Amino acid sequence: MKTTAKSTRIRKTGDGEWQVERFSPFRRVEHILTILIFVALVVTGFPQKFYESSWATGLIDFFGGLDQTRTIHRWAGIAFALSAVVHLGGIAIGVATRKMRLTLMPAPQDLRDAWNNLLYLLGYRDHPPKFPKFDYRQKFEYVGLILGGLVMLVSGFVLLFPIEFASLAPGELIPASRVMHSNEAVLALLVLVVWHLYGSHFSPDVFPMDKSVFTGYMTVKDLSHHHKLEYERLFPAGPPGANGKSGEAEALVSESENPDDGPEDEPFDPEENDPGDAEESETEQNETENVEGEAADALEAADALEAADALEAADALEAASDAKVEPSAPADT
Amino acid sequence: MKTDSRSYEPMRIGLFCPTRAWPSRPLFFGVAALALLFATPLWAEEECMDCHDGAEDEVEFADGSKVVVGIDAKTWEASVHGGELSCSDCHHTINEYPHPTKPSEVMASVGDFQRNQAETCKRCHYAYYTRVLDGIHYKQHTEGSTKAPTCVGCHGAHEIRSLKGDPLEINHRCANCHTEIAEVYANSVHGRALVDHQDGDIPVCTDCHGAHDIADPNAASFHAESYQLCARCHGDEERMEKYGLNANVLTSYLEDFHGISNQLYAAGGGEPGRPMATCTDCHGIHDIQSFKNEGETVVVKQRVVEVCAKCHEGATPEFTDAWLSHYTPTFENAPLVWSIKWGYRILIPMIMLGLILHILLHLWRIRARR
Repeated sequence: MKTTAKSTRIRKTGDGEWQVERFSPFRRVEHILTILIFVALVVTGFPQKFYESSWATGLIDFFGGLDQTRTIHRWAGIAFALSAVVHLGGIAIGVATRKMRLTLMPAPQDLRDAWNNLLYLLGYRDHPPKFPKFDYRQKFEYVGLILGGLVMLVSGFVLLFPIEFASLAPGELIPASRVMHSNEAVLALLVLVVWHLYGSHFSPDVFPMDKSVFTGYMTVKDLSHHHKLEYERLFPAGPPGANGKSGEAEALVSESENPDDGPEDEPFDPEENDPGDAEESETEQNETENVEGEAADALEAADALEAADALEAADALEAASDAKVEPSAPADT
Repeated sequence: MKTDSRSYEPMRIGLFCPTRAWPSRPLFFGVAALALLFATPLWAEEECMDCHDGAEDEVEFADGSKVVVGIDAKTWEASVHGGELSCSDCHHTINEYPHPTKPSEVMASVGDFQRNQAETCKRCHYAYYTRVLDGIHYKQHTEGSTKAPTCVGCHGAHEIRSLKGDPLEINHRCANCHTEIAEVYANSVHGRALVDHQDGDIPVCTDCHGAHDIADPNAASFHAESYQLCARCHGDEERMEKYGLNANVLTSYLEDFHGISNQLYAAGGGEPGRPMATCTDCHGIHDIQSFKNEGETVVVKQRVVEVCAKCHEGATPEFTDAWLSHYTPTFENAPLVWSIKWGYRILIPMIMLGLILHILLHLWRIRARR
């Protein structure tokens, strides 16, 4: 799930909250399709792995028998393969035309982030590191999905076409593929249930649900809390409407600026952190204009004065809470 | 109704125990001894044997088939029913002389007559009778066959005896009709072993096909579930050890794709759209031979290729390597499968442990910060 750098939309909701587009409509649809395909594959695949359980035979019966269950599984697998081709093909084109910012590409900075965050979690640091658009936990899951998905696809196609495959490679790869398909499925489901459900639902940061992948938008507040680097990249001159000019958004995207280094954070290197950064410069000007234009459009309908007031208040509050996360927290309890 | 009242007698004896009710035991035993002295075989009372013992007369059925009405009194007495049942217990419609005429549908053929007689067996052997209703032979009857056996077809009529401990005789009876298959079986590894081992270790016809509720062996479900028949012996470690055989053959099959499929079909996964390889597809059915004495692996391999090619068009010797020949994957015989298996066994717990610790740490940190 990568966003193109063509434009980053921002909008203001009815209750005066600023939101930033995080997932393009295409990515939102892609996510929903992935859910459907994944569920279809799990409910038709796991009964075949845990064939001795009564729930397995119950599920197979539900689908109308083993043959029907397998047919659904195979078509869902083909759908997954197609979605993988579209996804990876899109990235390939995006990279070739230098229009895509690879925000989910793991980088050495992620290891440093992970280490610094570990120190923070253990209490040796007062602040978590500043994360880019997607932090190392999200990147881990994404890369896991891509690599695991490829393992499932390759091994799945070996099992679907064993004769054809055996004419190209040793036959022992067929049972090997079966073991791989079966185990990788367990790993994928476990990671999804434990890691994805925690990260997107049960984590106190997002509980009960991080809706951004469905709505496509994340509040500027959440962005500044959890993805500070992305926030700073989008709003180098402060939060939208902070200057009070009739709520006009100041969503500037600038690569040249080096974000201020917090005392605990590693030095920030744009090149290293974001592999797509270098390719972005040519669309940058364009992007800034788009952002401003759209934000202005969104605000047109609103009463300018009222909006400005509301924004000022909200921003002041947010700035305060941002600056004083630590000191204000103990007062709550 | 004579037989009915007879069958209730034991209960009355049980309720009013004669040894207590009678004034003294010597008197009771005295009367009992007298009764025994004058006791005569049940059939003799009916005087049937006066005519039927050794008779050579024949009764002709509507279709022209004939049956000799004579029986050998000694054989009858030696049968399991001899001394237990009277003639009219089974031939209960014949109660006078000259014998009353039977309805024409009963007398249409020997088969029809015997099927009608099965109703008599049912009166005592009800459970077996109902099982037969599920069997292929009964199905053939309902489809109009008069040749398919009824009770007496396998058990005999007046010479009925228990076949426990006589597996050869069981096969012999099936061979009356299934002659060719019986010969094939006799030359198989099981058939040859049966000559020396008649202690129940070696499967005979009924061990795989059942006796009364014989399933249709051409049904897809029979093929899919047939591994369970082989499993009864070949999954039994103790028995396999006795013959120097590997009891792992079953589990290694069941853990493979074909084995899993057939287990799921057997567990209610519907009818298989196309047959999945099971034991008999590689090893044969009635002609099962030992792979042990095959000698050259090349020969065995060629045979497996042929078997695979039955379903997998274009199967090559490389393709048959997909089947690990009943061996559990080890580092030596299937290094790739083994390493992937162990790789995941280590990787999955490690990753999950790491993720769970990370989550717990996160929760702890949020709590600690408050």
